[in-house]
Amino acid sequence: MAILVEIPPPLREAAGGNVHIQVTGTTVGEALTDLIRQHPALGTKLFDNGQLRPYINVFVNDEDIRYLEELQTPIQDGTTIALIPAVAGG
Amino acid sequence: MIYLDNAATSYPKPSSVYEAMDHFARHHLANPGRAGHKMALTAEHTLDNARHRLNRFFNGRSPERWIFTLNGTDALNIAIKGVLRDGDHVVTTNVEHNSVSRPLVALAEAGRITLTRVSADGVGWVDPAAIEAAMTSRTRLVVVTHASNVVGTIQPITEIGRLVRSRDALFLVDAAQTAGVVSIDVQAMCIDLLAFPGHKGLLGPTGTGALYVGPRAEAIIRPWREGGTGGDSSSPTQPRELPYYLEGGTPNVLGIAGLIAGLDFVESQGPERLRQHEIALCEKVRHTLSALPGFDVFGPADPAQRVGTLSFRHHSLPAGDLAAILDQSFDIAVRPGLHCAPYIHRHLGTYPEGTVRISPGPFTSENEIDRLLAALQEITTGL
Amino acid sequence: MQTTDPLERYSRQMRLPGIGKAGQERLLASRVTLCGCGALGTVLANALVRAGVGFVRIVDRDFVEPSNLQRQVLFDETDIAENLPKAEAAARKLRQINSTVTIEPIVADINRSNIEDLCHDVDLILDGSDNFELRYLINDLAIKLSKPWVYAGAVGSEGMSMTIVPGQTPCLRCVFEAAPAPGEAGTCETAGVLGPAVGVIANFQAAEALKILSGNLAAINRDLLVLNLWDNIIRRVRIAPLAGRKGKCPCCALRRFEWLEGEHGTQTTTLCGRNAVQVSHRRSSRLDFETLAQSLRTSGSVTYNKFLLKFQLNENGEFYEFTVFPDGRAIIKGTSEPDKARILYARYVGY
Repeated sequence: MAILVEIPPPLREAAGGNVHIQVTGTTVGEALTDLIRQHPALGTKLFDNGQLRPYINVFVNDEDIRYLEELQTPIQDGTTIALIPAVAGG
Repeated sequence: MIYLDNAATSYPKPSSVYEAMDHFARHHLANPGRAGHKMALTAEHTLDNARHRLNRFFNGRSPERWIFTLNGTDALNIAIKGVLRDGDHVVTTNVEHNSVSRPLVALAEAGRITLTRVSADGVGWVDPAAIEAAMTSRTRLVVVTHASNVVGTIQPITEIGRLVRSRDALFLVDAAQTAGVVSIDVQAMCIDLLAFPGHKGLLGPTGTGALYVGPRAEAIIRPWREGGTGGDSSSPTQPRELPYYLEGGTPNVLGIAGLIAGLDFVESQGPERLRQHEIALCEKVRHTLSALPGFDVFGPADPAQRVGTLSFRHHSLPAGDLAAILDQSFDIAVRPGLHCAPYIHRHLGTYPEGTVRISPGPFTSENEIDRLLAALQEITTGL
Repeated sequence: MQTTDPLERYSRQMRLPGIGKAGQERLLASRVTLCGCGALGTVLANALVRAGVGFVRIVDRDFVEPSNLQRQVLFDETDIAENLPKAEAAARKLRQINSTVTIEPIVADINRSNIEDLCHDVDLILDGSDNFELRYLINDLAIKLSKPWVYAGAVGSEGMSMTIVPGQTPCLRCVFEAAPAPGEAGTCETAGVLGPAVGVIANFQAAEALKILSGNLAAINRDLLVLNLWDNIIRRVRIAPLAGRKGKCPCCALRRFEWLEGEHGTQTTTLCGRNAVQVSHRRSSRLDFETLAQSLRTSGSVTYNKFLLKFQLNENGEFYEFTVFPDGRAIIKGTSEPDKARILYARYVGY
């Protein structure tokens, strides 16, 4: 299973400096659980009491999971999951 | 009690006002700012938010220009004593409340200023041309009440404001009877200083009021009360920044929490709708009493020219007696006498006995007015 | 400029089929408020004024500093020597570029009390800011007044932009319901910024502005654009279905303007002492000191325990000391001016 999670710059430190991380799972939720298993420091960055933090958007093949099936959104081999937090500066 | 004395203090308040004050007193009643702890921050935010809300409601230049005061009188004193200098000339009217007249007359009697009092017409209306004619090259300040607290006449504030500005004087408006029931835009009306209490048309508690200080007034106003401001404690004198320059001492943040709940209600209804309600009730009194023998009713006939305050008298029953009977036998609260405005009573020929004033509020019902009218008929029958 | 036809200077732009003479005339008659004039703002102002947008109001609270020159394209060393506010320095330069349009510089901190005055009389609001507090405030006002606005942000080599047309697209809160907590999102001061990244994203914003103002609403980008010039990522993600967030977006669906109403946002308190201002949030959050410490170490010295984080900073010869607390509040020593404290907080703690 080649599912890639794309890590945005603010989270890379907690992800061992990686830009892409390969994970396994059949849903977005499972994929993120695997991601956090590999890089536990990402846990509190992404979730707060089990809820995805409201300023982090998760896109599966460029579609927001909030109008798919949220964390239950099914994924397949070749899926790219992008974590996209709002960008502040300017 | 049928309460018809809203021109003095509005009652009842919307229940949200009582709730806001109870909640604030139980949870947040700390000294605003100063200490920086959570309760202090909430208290300070209440003040900041109130300034923002007043600024938006009256279209001021910026929130820090709204100075919290004890009441309308306090705001007027801060304005009058803060901007006048020895040798200044002041123009005011004979419609004013003592909160304007007394500080000005005291300054005039002390030889500090000269004072010209412009006369209103028979219904209490002040002609802008008369104000202009009274102004001299030494005129620093023109003070006009937005609406008479005796007969309810609304003054042509915008016209007066424009001409005062064109003559480079400052314009102080006493909005005691209008804040909350007549739309006020301090910028469009060329108002440099706006003073009002929180406990009348804005439906807040007693002990609240505010003064708006526009840029032209800011340049010369001096503090009349000095003291702690929370920040900048190392400065030996009052810091120059508004609102702190004019706001020494702990503000009545509890009252202001109530005042803003009152303003919420006013904004949800709209001032004009509130005025219309009160006017309609006054009109009923006016029409009924005009048709009864022995009553004189004062003020402009056109309701568009008035706020919901009506004065009347009876030929053979002094105002004080009539009010006492209404209170004791009918449980109806009205205000007899001179209403702290002796000059307009002299002008109307009602001095020194005065008139009976009724002023309904947002919660006064038509049924209550009917009971007042029935009581008046009963009391005066056969006199 | 000596030309017979005042439109000649726009001739290359008018040749674009989407613009033409009619579109150019619309640009010349259009009005914009630019909120913030830093890296995004200078690029935006430059593009708009050159394109002939007839009225550009530029609002910024800050002064030009040496660290701005790497990316803030309208400023130069003279502006620093003269200690000019950014809005004034930008206006001076822009008037040399195009003297036929109106530039209105305003040196002010944009807040909930003045934002409506600053934006009520324009056709479009542009985000040139560096913090989310202002962006959510712009979003509230834009939805309330039904005016389009264009968001963009840039940090590091990353940029992001979306175009908001009330009633037609999602609003900022449909897509990003809440701002990152203080210390969670990098700022240009803590994470750095690549000049071209902010230039690209701001020019993208400018193109969106020109489409809207020239009457080409159909041509706007309705996706969220995300790019990272260093990692070679350019992505457009579909956000159109998020519009109104199933009727639950607090701003555009429920019309609760929480930032305009002061329920969110920062609060500054000049403390009863000397030369220190406390910055706090209406809604408190939990800070991760470890992350914040890491991001601040590049700018100054940092120490922390479970109660507080101390950060000492020397910025342009001025010494500041931040004491940051776990709920996001900070006491900033070295200034007694609330506006300066807010600038410093936005730069280093980030919000």
